[in-house]
Formats: sequence, structure tokens, C-alpha cells
Amino acid sequence: MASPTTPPSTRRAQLATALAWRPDWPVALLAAAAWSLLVWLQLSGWGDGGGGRGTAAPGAHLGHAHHELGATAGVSAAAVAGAVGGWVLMSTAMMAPATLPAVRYVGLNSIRRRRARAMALYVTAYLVVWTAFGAVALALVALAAEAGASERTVAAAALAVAAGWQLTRAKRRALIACGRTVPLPPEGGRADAACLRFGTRQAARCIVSCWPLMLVMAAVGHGNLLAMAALTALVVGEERSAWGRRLRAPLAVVLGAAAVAASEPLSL
Amino acid sequence: MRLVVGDFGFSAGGWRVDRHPRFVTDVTGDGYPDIVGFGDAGVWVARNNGDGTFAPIQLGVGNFGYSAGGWRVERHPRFVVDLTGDGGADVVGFGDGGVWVARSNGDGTFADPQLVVANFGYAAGGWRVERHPRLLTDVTGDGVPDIVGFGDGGVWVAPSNGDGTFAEPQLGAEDFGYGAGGWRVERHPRFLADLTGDGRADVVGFGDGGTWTALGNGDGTFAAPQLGIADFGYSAGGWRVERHPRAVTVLEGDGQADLVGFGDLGVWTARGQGDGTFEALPVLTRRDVWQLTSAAAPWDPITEAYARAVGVMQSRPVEDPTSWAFQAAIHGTYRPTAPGVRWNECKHGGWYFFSWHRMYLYFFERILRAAAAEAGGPDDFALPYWDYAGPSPRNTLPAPFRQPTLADGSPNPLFLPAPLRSPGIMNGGGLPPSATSSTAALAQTAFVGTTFGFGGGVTGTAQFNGSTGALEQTPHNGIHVLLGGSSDGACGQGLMSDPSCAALDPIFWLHHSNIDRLWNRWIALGGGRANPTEGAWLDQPFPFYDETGALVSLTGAEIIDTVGQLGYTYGDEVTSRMSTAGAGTGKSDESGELAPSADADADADADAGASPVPAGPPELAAATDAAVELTGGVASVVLSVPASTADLVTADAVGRRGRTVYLNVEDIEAERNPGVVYGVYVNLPSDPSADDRARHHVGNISLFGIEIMNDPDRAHDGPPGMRHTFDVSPLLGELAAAGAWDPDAITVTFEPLGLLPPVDDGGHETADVDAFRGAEPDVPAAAERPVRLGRVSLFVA
Repeated sequence: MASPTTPPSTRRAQLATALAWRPDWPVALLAAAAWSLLVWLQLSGWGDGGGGRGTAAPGAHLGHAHHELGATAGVSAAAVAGAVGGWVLMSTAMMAPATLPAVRYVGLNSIRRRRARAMALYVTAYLVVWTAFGAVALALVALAAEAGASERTVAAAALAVAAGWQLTRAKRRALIACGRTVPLPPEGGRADAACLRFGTRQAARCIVSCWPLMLVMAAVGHGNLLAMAALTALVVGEERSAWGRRLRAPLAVVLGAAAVAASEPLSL
Repeated sequence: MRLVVGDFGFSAGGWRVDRHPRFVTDVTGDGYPDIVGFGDAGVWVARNNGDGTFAPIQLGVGNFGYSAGGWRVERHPRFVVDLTGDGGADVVGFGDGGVWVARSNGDGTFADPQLVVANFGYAAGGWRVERHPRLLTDVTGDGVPDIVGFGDGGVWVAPSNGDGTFAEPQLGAEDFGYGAGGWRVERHPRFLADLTGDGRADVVGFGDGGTWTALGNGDGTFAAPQLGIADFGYSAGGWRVERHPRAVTVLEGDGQADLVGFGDLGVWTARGQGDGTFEALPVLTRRDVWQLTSAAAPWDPITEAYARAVGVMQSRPVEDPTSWAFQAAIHGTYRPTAPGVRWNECKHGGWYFFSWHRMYLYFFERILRAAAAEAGGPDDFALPYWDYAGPSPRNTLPAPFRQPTLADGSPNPLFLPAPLRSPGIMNGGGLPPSATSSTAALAQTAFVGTTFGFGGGVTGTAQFNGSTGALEQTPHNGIHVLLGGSSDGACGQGLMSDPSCAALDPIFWLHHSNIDRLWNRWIALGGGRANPTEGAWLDQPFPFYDETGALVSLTGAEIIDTVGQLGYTYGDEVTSRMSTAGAGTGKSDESGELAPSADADADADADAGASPVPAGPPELAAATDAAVELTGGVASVVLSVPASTADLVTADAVGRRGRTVYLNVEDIEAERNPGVVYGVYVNLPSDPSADDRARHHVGNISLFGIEIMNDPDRAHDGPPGMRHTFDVSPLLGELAAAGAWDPDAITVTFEPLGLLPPVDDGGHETADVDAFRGAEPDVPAAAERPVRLGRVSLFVA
């Protein structure tokens, strides 16, 4: 703890040490940047009216993508790119926080010279897998929209699936395996491959754990910051704390209730 | 219930606790208590009619009130007490200018207030409610109360003149004060009570190290303080003002006050002995089983009582919390758990390992003691311990556990035939020193440590966590697996190897008694060794069952001191708390908690390191490129050293003072526990001698707990990939100094630890050796249960 009389050089050294224990800080910054961008997009109205700007804005909400689908009866490449770009932004904001401990593990278990590279490889692999999942999820939601299902119906269905999924053995196993690591050779192509493999495995495991929740996000879009924040807190809590893991079953009830709430006006 | 006075109430009259103290006491001298309230306008009285009804409320005196005189609860303590011996209580108020008294007129009114002592007041002497308790009690034995105040410099007394006036205050004892001894209202309740039965009150203070007393001399002064009992204190027993009310009162007909405390587990008392001390909890001694028994004479009163008590517990049905099966299931079980039952609670792989197991043994021992008494054993039965670190027979299974029958020929509940225990162990095999030695673990000075410590990392409360401490690794984990051997995941063999079966083996409890002893030993070594001080460790409660079958709980703060808090010691512990805590100056700040001594500061500095900049994380210097599989034989790996880290592992670098080098074995995975413990060696020469092995041994890998870690249905916090850390600095420093360190050939060897063949007192192999060899080793089982080591690495800090 720096006292008021601590010389600045000592304080700099203390900060450097603190950061050395948290080599994942650039990824934390990246997640913060993604959140800032999302908030800015929301405040500046991109999330509501992207379609009015000629092409789908990067922040365009998937709803607009499928409105365009409906309007033009053809897949606009720009709309798809916008939706996927939005998805990458959302995945970074929502999924990077949950994987920070793994990034830290990669950093602390790599030789100093390779540290940044190892963490970058890990994060890249992790986000690429999430993006691939996003492409599939968005396609599914688009198909559902084309089949006439409202955004609300899709979200309610996804919430219902998420509630059920909480209670499965696969979910439990995926959560338990959260702290599982991949051996990282010290250097060379094997080390790079191991970082990529670790990022891929963590993302795949995370998808097994929470794919229905991200399906909900695919349906409601990243314009809904409140839902994003709630689901991020839920995912980070479940993945990274013992008490969060105990909430698995109660959360099933909450998600079930959310599904009912989301579908209710339609059933009336 | 009935309403007797329509006043003095929150609504009826607007009375407030933070403004208006209220009492029930006899102000008229008729023998019936009246209601007295300090209101806004003064002191109001409702006289008792003698039948439990009260006369209408009247103003007794127009002072001592919130408005009348400006009296405040947070500044001006007020009492209603008989100062003259006429039976009618008088009003006493500690005001700004001193002590004011209004004597009772005997009819519910009071005479005009007069200032009787120009001290003990907010302005007169600077007395504060939050620092200086004041009370009225008879310390001179004349039958009327004197004024006693706990000031900054100690206990001040103003003896009563018997007429409502007082003599000048004098310092009665230079202790029990804010400055004198560091006493605090929020931590240290203080009382006056007659401890000796002479009719004069003595001082009783609940301090940090226990309950301190100072006997009255009868003239308003007190004898030197003494430690009355090393309990009921802030540190001694973990007593807290906001949780644990305490009282000093006569419980028996001897006129000598006793202590009463409302603790976590219930009400505790300590009988006053009439001399200012209190009868301490009887301290029972846990003894070394190999000093109690020998192969020739396995039975002594303690081992026999243990056997019979185990038999009693085993005869109880599993639903009974005091039964053998139930107690074992608290640690772990494959049985389905009934709702509300606290089974599968064991804590491993982190900082709760020691505290949880101490509590577990404590309650088990209480159950056992009751069962032993039932079986005719001694009432002061205490669990023995097995210190296996030593030559034969110490390193062999204690004799009472190898006898099929008791002395009278009846079946021995302590006996388990192979394969419930390792066949080699049951045939007299000895545990190797590399498995039993606690030296490396005791050398660690940090409990948690930044990277690795004695007691394990900061974790949650899951059964198995990923941050195992040094002593938990060796000897604890290795001994479990060596005693159990191969297990089957159903408690049909190798009980000790599997945490869900281990406590079914009676040797479990002697093993853990030893681990608990080593925790005390570690603390006693000093040198900055200390238990965690974080609330998460101190205040986390864990559930157990006591000898009545009741669900109870304890926290870390309540089990730190085995003598003072739990009433047991180990046979090899030369000092007991009672003999050390009472020695010295008689001050309550001996613990260092109130007034941190220079030593405590020095310790804190030592913990933080000499530099004001904390250490950064250890750096990876070398690691293996590929995983290795252990299948019961010897396996070696060579670590590659990247060019950029070569300077971290030169002979100069690893030999440097203050440098710590850790060997990590990471991502250890296995489907099942192979029932084998692998010794880990660094740069072991080829064809090693026994000395080479001893010198190059850095630790062991045991898969104890892998069943639970692999089970997604069981609560645990750690990943299936275990990580073991070993402090290899001593060996590397030694090799570097001897010129024997080659950074280009860092080799780590894994070799199963074998049991030592049975020998007699002269060191010659005994007749058991053939049976032993027939039973050893269990390599085929280990080959079918491979252990995969993901990476072996060297870190430098």
C-alpha cells in the first residue's frame, strides 16, 4: 500500500508488480472498450435506426438485419457483415470477462518473451470459436424469423431451453471443467498450437455451458444492454465462483420465469 | 400479559431508548421494585402498590432528564441504587461536572441533586461512555456501594461515606484502563464481583488473552492483576462483545463468583476457585501410539479403549450421527445423502484443510470419549496420534491395527484385512522416509504464500480445491494412498486411498491426529509462522455433530488454540498455554493485538520482504514440451530451457540467496487413483544409491481425491487437472554449490515409492518378509490406471 510519502518511483514499481500479477489486464481493457463502444452506439442511436444509414451499421441489431431480409427477400452482405460484426463486439464484451482467469493462466505460465503472443493467440482462438457459434446462432434466429416467429417468441423459447439446460449433466460437467487447463510447451510452434488449442477448448466448453443464453442474445440483439449486462454477470458468476456454481438450479427457475414472462403477452 | 402503566412507552409518553433510560428498582424501601424512568423533564416514578400494580406516574425530581439538565445517554450514565443502606434507591448521575446524587425521600420523590464528586464526569476528568465504564458497587465491604470507574490510567475508586457522599477518588489498580493495558469497551467487558466470598467486590476483566482478575484489598485498592483463566477472551476463545454476552455471578452456594459466557456452542461456565482464578477446561493429552504400544504388547488402556469405542460406534445404525458410518460419511461417502444431513463435507486442496479436519477430529473425539466411557474405558480418553516419521517400528502400522483380536479374544474393530488396507502395510511393510517426512513442509514459513505455502491457497469451501499446501501434499496425501493401496470406488478395498471411504478405517483418525499435531508444531516453530488472519478463514463456520447427535458448528477463530479452546494438547508439546500466557507482566495486551509490539511490526515487515515493492510472480524458466504418462514404473523427463530464460537457471542464479525455485507438475490427470505414490526427483543420478534418492527427492505426487475431482456431481472447486508445486531451492542451491548443477540437463524423475520390508529391532528382516514380498508391489494395477502429467516446469521467483 502506498503511503502518502511513497516516492513516485516506488509507486511505479508497485504498479508494475501489480500488473505483472495480472498479465490479463489488456484483455480486461479490451472488454471494457467493447462495453464502451456498445454503450456509445446505444446512446448515439445506432442500435435503433441503423437501417436508415444506407447500410446496416456495425452496431445494427439483428432485428434490423432480418427486417431487411424480409424487405428485400435477399441476403444483403452488408447486413450479414453488420450482424456478425455486432456479434463479435457483443461476444468480446460478454465472454472476455469470464475467460480472464484463463488468460492470466496463459500469461503467468509462459516465458516472459512469449507472454503477449501467447495471450493474444489464446484470445483470438477463443473469440473465433465464439464468432463461429454466433454465425450459426444468427442464422438460426434468421430462419426462425423467416418462418414467422417473432423476436419475442424466439427469446422466450431460448430462455426456456436455457432454463432446462441448467439442469443437465452436460452443463454441470462444462462448469466443473471451467478451470481445466492445457499444458503449454515453453516455446516454438508447439507452444503456439497449445495456446490456440487452449482458447478453442475453453470457448467450446463455455459454449456447452451457456449456448442457450447466447441464443437469447442472438434473438434480442446487442441493443439490449440490460439483458447483456445481466447475462454477463450470470455467466461470469457461474464460471468463476463457487457460489455462482451453486446457483445453477435456482437460476434454472429464474430463467424459466423469464421465459414465461417473455412469452406471456403472446399467449393472452 | 397485562398493561399496568399507560406511560414509559414508545407511544405512551414518547420514551426512546437513546434518550430515556428506564429501571425497575425499589426507591421507596418497601421491598417492592418501582418503575423509574429518566424522561425529558426529569426522573419519573410509578410506585409499586405491592401487588404488581402501580400508582400513577409522578415526577420524582426535576433533573437528570433530557431537557431538565441536558442529560444524554451517550455522555451521562445514570443509575438508581441505594447509597445509604436505607433500602430506598437513590438517583446517581455521571454528569458533565462530576457525580450528582439525589437521595430518595422514601415516597417516590427525591431530594434536590447535589454534586458529590467533582470527577468521573464528561468535563470533570474527561470520562467517556465509549471508553470508560463506570459503575457503583461495594468494594470496601461496608454494605454500601462505592463509585468505580475504568479510566485511562486504570481503575479509579471513590469509597462511599455511607450518606450519599464519597471520599476523593484514588487509583485502585493500574490496569483494566484505556491506556493501562489497552482495554476497550467494544472488546473487553469489565465487571466487579465478589470472587472470594469476603463481601468485597473484585475486578474481573475479559481481555485478549483471557479473563483477568484483581482481588480487592478492602480499601478501594486492588492486588496485582492475574490471569484467572485463559479463556472467555477476545483472542483466547474468540469471544466478541457483539456476539457473546458474559456475566460474573455466583452459581453455587459458596459465595464465590463464577464466569458465565454465551458462546457459539451454548452457555459455558468456569467455576470460581475463591482466589481470583477459575477452574480451567480439563486438558486431555493425545499420545503417541507407538509410545503406548509395541508389537509385543499392542494393548494398553488407551488403544484398547479406542478399539472398544470404535466397536460401540460401529454397532450404531448409520442414521445415528454418533455412529461410525455416519461420522465417516461427514468426510465423504458413496451413500446417498438424506435431506438435511451434512455429509461429504471434507475440505482439501486449500487453506481450510487444517481447520476443518481439526474440528472434525474434535467432535469425533467427543463422541469417541462418550462411547469409550460406555464401554468402560477411561473418562479422559483422548485420541492417540501416529507419528510415522522414524525408523521401524514407528513407520509401520501400529500394532493394535494389525491384530485380528483384542486381548480377550474378541474381534478387533481396528483390524481391517487386505485389501481394505494395503497388503504390504498389513504384512508389516514400513512407510519410506520420503513419504513420512514433514521437514520440507515445516520449513515453509507462510501459511498461504504468494505461490506456495504450508497450509494451502485461499479457496472456497468445496471438498477439493486446486491449491494444496505443503503438509497436505506430504505427508498427508501420500500416507493416505500408501496405507490404502489400490481402491475400487466403492469402499470395497483401499479405504484410505479414497476420501469417500477413508474415515471408515480406524487408522484415519490417528493419521489426522498426527497432521493436526504437525500444524501446532509448525506454529510453535515461530519465525513468522502464523495462521491466516482473514475473516474468510477465521469466521467461516463448518457443520458437525456432537456426542448427543446435535448439529453444531465451529469457525476457524474458535479452534486456533487447542488447549484453551478445545481442551487438548499433544504428548510431545512441552508448553501449555496456561503456563505461558499467565507469565510475565499481567497485562492484557500480551497477545500484541491491542498494542502491536515492535516485534509484531518486525514480523509484518519480514512477511512483506525487505523491499517496499512486493515481489512479482515467479517466472517460467524451463518446461517439458510434451506430456508424460506414469504407469507404475520409473519415468524421466528433460526440461527444455528457452534461450531467453537461460540466465534464470544458471548455477549462479539458482544458487543465489533469497531466490526461490519451484518445480511444478501441472495438468495431472487420471481416471482413477492408481494406488501408487510417485516420488519426484530432480537430476537423480543413474543407478542411484539410497543416499542419492534421499538427496534428490523433492516431493511426491499422490492422486488422493481424484475420484471427487473427476465427479461432476460432487461439489469441488478445482479442475480435474491437479497441479503440484515443490520448493526445490534447497536442492538446487546445494547442487549449484557442489558444482553439480547442469542447466542443460534438468531432469525430473518419477518413481513409485515402495514400502520398506519389515525388520526387527536389530534391523534384520523378519519372518513376515515373504508375505510382504508376495503382497508388493501393485504395479499391474498402476499400469491399468495411468497418470498423465501435462507439463513439468521450473519457475524462478
